[in-house]
Amino acid sequence: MRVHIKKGLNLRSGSIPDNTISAIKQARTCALLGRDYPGSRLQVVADEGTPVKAGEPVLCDRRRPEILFTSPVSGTVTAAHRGARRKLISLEITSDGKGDSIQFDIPASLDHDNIQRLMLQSGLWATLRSRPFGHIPTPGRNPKALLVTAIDTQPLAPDPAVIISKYNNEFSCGLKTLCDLGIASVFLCKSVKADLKFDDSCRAEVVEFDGRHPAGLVGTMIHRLCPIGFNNEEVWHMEYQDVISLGHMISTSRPWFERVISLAGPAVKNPRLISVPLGAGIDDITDGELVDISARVISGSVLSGHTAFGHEASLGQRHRQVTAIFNTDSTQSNGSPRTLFNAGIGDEADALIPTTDLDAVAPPGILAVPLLRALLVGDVERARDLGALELVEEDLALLSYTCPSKTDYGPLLRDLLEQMYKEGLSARG
Amino acid sequence: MEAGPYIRSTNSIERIRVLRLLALLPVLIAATGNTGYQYLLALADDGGKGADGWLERFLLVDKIDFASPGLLDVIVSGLIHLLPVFAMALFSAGVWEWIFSEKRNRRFDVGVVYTALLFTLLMPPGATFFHIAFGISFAMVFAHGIFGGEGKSFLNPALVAVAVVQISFPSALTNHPLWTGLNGYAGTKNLALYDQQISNGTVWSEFEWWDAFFGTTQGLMGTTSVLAVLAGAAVLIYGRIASWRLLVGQLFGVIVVAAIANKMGGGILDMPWYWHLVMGSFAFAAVFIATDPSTSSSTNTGRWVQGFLTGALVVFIRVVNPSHPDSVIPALLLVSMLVPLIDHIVVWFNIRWRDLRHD
Repeated sequence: MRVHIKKGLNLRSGSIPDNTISAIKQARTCALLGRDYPGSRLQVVADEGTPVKAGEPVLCDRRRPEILFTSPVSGTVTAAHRGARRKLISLEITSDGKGDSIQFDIPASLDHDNIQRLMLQSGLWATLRSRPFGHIPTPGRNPKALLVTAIDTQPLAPDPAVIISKYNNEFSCGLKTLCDLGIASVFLCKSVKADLKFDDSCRAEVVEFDGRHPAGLVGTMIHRLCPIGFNNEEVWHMEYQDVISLGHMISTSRPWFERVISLAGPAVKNPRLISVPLGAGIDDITDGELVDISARVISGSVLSGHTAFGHEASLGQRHRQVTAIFNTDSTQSNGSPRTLFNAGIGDEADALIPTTDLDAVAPPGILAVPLLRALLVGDVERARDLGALELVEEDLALLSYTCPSKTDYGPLLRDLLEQMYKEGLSARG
Repeated sequence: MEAGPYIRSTNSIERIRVLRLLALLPVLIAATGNTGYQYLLALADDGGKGADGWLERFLLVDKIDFASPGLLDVIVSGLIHLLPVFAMALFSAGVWEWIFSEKRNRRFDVGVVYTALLFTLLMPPGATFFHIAFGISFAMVFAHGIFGGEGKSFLNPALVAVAVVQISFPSALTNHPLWTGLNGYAGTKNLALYDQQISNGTVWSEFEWWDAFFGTTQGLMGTTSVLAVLAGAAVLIYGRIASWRLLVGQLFGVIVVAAIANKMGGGILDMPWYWHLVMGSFAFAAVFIATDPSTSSSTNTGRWVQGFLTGALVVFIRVVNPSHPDSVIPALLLVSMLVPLIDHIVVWFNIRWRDLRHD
């Protein structure tokens, strides 16, 4: 099946990363970030000072304690940083450089229960996400579909085909395992241009996406393949490198604790793909790589990444790129250019002017301006009816980029999603 | 927690404002030229007798060569009609915007320049200061200020200002002598639209279609030259401020209703669609007022519907209602008020479609 996305926008910011994967860059510290797991209340299992091996659980979800979050390196838990209401901001693990890791017992027969248990134990369950809401799915639920995303259209993102071709066997194995998870339909979403070689004996349906940026986002895929209704329906999705990790675990009994990321952006000396440990400290990744030491380093893309700063200066769990851009003082805090007329009044948001470019970059099937208006006034039900259940923050990044009012719609959507989650609004009475 | 996007498009309200002013530039040039040209024609026709307005006496009466005018004469005569109207409109709009920005503690909205300019271009050369101040004041309060400024009102303030003047002083805009700016001059060569006495299609043959297209006819200052308006439209569409769907929709609306009227036949009903496009202030309002992004439909389907309705209503009112010969302002006002309903229906269909695709 082939899906062509007509709308969208490809941003160019800096040179495309080189497609050869550099050798692993070790990190002194790694961290698990609270912001990567919306909807989970994280509880520290391994307190500060505890020595851990790679693959050993360090966090769990307070409400669903079977969901574990594991350490990506062997070393010592050095700090648990907490923010408002004692919410975990990050759990820092200092690597001892030994690379010891836990071995998981792989049962002979991989049926649904075994796979689920294995994924929960190894922390790979926490790489799954569900829509609506973008939370970690609750084990035992029966989603409508599972999407394996092997396409990345973010600006300066790594080419999944390069990485999958290097870890061919692991990817096939992981995909096969996911197919056995007992989910009604499994889709493998890839780019039209990518020529993926994998064992196609499994039942995953390959869907090719073609087009500009939102083409590679999960919201787009859900819209085209398995729209989410109001009957508590769920769609799960998993990203290709996490599938490689799963395959790696099935074949070698330990998960893959590295990720291949693209290090790119205008402030990077040598844009390329590198292997780094999961959750690696940004300082370790960008050490000696930046043109300008004061550059702003972003975990993720310029569109939907996060600033890697302070206690959150690590690679995000779902981020496959580190982007460095120059810090400039020519923009205000709200991002709009400083001109004669708005100097000093930057805090006041401009009105939403519904120009046609908003429709041109909206997620497919979404009425951009009515949805943004619902978000601005906090109308939960209208936002839900207009398709907010299919979206998370990253789907609105292009709209925030384009909108002349310079409003950030991502956080507004997140607030509304959490409200819908609490009030059980994903089902209509 | 700070999250992306870390780069922003260059799209901003400032950019929209600058591009809109840029789009009005060709219209301003055409307006200045044609207003001066029409004034000098009237002056020549009248033998200079009508030049007894205070402006003429103050500035021109001896210096201007109306018998064989040069380019400078044309420009100066144009500017003495355009600038006072603009100055008065800008002053009135500025005062109200200043009052609101002070009282409401928000920034002074420089978009009033655009509003004043649009209003000026929709005025006849002989508009009086009282009419201007009245129209602009009403619009700046009730179609701009009380809603919170630019992008928050559901009606375009310039449109409301012109509508208020037209409704309150019906003779102010359609009275022929005002059209040349020459006080008391009645020898107007009028477009058939305003005569309503068309029989067998001959009246408008007094003009070539191209005259109306290039804008060498009498009319409201900015609206005569369709060519200049098209240049402005190109800027607005290229800058992605105006929606091309709205413009094409209006074209469809005009063609369809004009075709129906032609079938029925008789009098002004016979006027073909390509004449409707170049007559009156339709082209100007279609490009600069109907497509105002903050008061037009915010969905692509809605833009088609709104465009079609606007074009259709303009022709419909023109051919059936003699008291609104131009009909552009009432038609736009009606459709503007319908826009929230159009959007509401489009949203309703979208929600319904979302529901249905799961069953």
